[in-house]
Amino acid sequence: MRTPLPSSSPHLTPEASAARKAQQSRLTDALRGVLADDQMILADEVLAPFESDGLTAHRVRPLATLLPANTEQVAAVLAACDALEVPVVPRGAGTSLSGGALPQADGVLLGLSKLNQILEIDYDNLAVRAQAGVTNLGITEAVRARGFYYAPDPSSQIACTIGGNVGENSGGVHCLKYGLTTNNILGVRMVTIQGEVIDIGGKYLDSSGFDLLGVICGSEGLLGVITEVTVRILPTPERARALLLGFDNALDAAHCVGAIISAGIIPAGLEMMDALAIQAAEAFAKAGYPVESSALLIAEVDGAATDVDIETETVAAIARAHGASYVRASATEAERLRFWAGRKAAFPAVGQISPDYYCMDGTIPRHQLPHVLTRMQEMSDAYGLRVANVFHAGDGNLHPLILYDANIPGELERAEAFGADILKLCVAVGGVLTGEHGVGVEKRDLMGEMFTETDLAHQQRLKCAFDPKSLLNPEKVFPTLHRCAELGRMHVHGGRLPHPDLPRF
Amino acid sequence: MPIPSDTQPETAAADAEALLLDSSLPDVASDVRRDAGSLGGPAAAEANMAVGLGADEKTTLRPSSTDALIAAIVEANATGRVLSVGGFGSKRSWGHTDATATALCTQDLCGIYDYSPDELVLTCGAGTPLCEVTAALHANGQHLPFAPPAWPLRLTAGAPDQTLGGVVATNLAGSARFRRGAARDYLLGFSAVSGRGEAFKAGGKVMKNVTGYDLSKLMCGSFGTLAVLTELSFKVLPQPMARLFAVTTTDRLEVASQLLAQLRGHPAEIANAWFIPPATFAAWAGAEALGLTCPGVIFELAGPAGGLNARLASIRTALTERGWSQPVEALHGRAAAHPSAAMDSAANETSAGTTLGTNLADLAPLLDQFATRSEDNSDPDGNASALIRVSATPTEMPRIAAALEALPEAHAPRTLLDCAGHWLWVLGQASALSHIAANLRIATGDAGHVTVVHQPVGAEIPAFSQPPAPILAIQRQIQRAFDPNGVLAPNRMFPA
Repeated sequence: MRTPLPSSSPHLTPEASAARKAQQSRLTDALRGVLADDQMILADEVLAPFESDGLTAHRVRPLATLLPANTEQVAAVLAACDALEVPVVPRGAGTSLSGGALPQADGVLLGLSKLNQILEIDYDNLAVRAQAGVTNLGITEAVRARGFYYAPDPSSQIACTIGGNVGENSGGVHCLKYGLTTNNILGVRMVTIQGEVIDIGGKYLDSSGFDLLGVICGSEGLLGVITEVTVRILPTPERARALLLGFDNALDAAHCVGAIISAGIIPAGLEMMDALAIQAAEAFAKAGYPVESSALLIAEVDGAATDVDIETETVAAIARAHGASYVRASATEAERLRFWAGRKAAFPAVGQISPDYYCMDGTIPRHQLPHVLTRMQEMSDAYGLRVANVFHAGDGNLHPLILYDANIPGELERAEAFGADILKLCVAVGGVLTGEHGVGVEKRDLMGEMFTETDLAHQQRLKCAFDPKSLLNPEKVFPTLHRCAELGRMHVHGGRLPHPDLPRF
Repeated sequence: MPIPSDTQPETAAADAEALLLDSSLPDVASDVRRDAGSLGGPAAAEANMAVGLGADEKTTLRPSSTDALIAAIVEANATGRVLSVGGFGSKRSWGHTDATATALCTQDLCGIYDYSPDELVLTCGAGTPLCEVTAALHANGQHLPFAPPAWPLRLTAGAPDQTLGGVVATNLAGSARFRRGAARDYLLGFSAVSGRGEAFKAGGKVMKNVTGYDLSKLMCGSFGTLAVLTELSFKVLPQPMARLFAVTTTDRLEVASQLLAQLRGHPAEIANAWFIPPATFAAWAGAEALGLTCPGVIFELAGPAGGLNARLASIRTALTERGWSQPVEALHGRAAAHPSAAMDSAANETSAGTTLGTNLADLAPLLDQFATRSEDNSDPDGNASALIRVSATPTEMPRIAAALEALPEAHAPRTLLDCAGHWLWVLGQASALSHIAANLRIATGDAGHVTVVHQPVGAEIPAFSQPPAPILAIQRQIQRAFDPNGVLAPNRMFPA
């Protein structure tokens, strides 16, 4: 197996530094003629900016950063890394909030930002084929003028790449109605660690054989490197309207969410914010939020114009019947966007009221919300750290923001412990560790809260089918790195399999 | 709600292992086949009990608990018995059948374990009949949005219903697949026993979850070759409030294909659309009842009743602006939905309007016609003979369908362009099946794939288009990972 090389740092011993240099040379020798010099970053000071992704508490300097510009170059890099047994961490824009694109000290950081072209727009088949480094919003912008859009809209959509969206199965505020990335892609071009280029799917529904597209989506870069994605685009709805619904307590707001859905309405977005988040967002964005409310719902309905007006009235009536003390529906597109501006700025807004914050991402069954909020307040008191909550209320995805100050010794550790307790609580009430940010390195060691060893072994064997040497993003997602040979072992009783001549595969 | 038994897989596995290590266990594999499934020896008798093998059901294993299922699969690994997983058997002719395999029936792994309408999540046993789940959902104005179709029941004699496990294992999807998704888009999580004889789970019971690999997707469409599903959790949604069907006349697929492209891209958001070609229309006894007088494109709108007519008007305007001169009219036949009759009530899911949609989705009219054609009564079970589905890039469909024109008149199959142009159904005579499937696969190329969802016993036509070699290799590796000894009918999808 691989011998991990130490990270380049001021403390690197002369021997370790020499070993690192030698490994870099082996890599560049293998790729000479494939990548230009400016596509291979080796110098320490130039590598420094690549040390972390969106989870900045973790930093590791990679062995090298490679910046291929097309699928062929990606294939050559992966084949070389496979031959040299060098780990590879793929990265799009590096916006992961779970450390999914955190480099490895002995590994290549494979940056895909140069693959930034939209290759084909096919309106008749409602499909766009884009290179992996195209931004999420870039796809919508390319088709907006003709009246189309790409539905999944993670908050980082201005920066995050479509390849990264596939890796993380990104969501957004519209996924209750329109689904996650996995429900909105038709195909990918992927390079295996062996350097083989494979096309999965196309501009049609499903594929023959197993749903490989489905398992690759959300695999956090552990199964292959995506270089092209074919997404499904949709006609832009004729109309969209948002409602601000203020409540005096969170319980009423939670019940209102259930009532809206029970009435047969699937809002395009249904967000909840607690008092601290409302106040922070209003101070930051001046969105017109009712700052005296304990809980705010932002509901959006979209679709054909007449339908939207009918459903807006229905939602407003349901909210009043459930004790809403503030009900306001957007009358203009500008007003709708202003309603959203507060929510979309919730994270930076919280950044204004605290030196640092730590964003969590669990999902719970919605009826557990009052209990979880109560427990979270108790934990907040116990840890001595404030917490603000924004919540994708429609699908139960909770984003508690833990406020702390990294300059106070021990606060980061306390914030992380608080965060882990919140996620354990999510699992305990029937939920999951991560709704949309991914496991990465952040939640890796909590996987045992949700899964047994047997569950995890079944997942890890899937990786073995794609990456038997475990070179692709190997330190992510799973708490224990098992060798594939060990995972594959299966006791055959008596050491025999009857009819060994029968074709079984 | 019934609560699932508190299974203890570790204990069960240990028991089964003890059983298998018993020195009195004979090499039963050959006995299995000779005795049509019954095991010999006292230990084997115990194994039969453990897997719920009744005295009068020697050829079918019917585990009623996860423990019993584990025991059956552990036993299969030890003896080399190959298991063919099924529920009510409605899809038994879909995929390669292994005559030597022992049937493993999931019907007893059933029941709705948890359903709270507010959460939009339903959890049930994999052997639960679809009708039971549908009834529970409809009682709360909800549904499985991918609308599992009933056509498998019409194709196979003697199957009273489908199980949810079968719906998942075949990644079944209703006619509106392009908009409403397939089983893959709604399975949130599952429990199963893999071919290794180990119970495992993946996913969750909440709407949004990216914790670990999305193995739910892998289970959907794996045809029971990786694991036997035991428990399934689905995302469910409210039923549409009202539906409207409209039609415009054309008899040419090329024209229909362009119309469908217009409809797909229109912001009035069609729920579905179909093209009924002339030959299919002529043979369709139900057309008149729908108020359909000519072959053409039918489309569906769904949503609040008050908005349906305005949406139809905006589509009509858009088509006219694009030079379409034929009338675009709402269907007012006695079986069609009239918007004024379909108010905002979920109860209308059972109204006449839905019957039209269901009929189209199920291809029932086509199949009923087909079954009465004398030259096709070659199947002794009275089953319909052969049904093929082409899933391809929509604009490629006219070119692909042209491959059928090369066939002699007597073999000309019925066709239906479904799913707003994404699916072409081909209903053919058994005698011409091989020829039809091959022609369609050549014509489709890499623009899609061709599935033979039903064929006569013994026809041996590959059910699925062969994926490219590197993809097939990965698929085989995945099979080995979940079922290293190949006990779960490993060749069902792609013959060795």
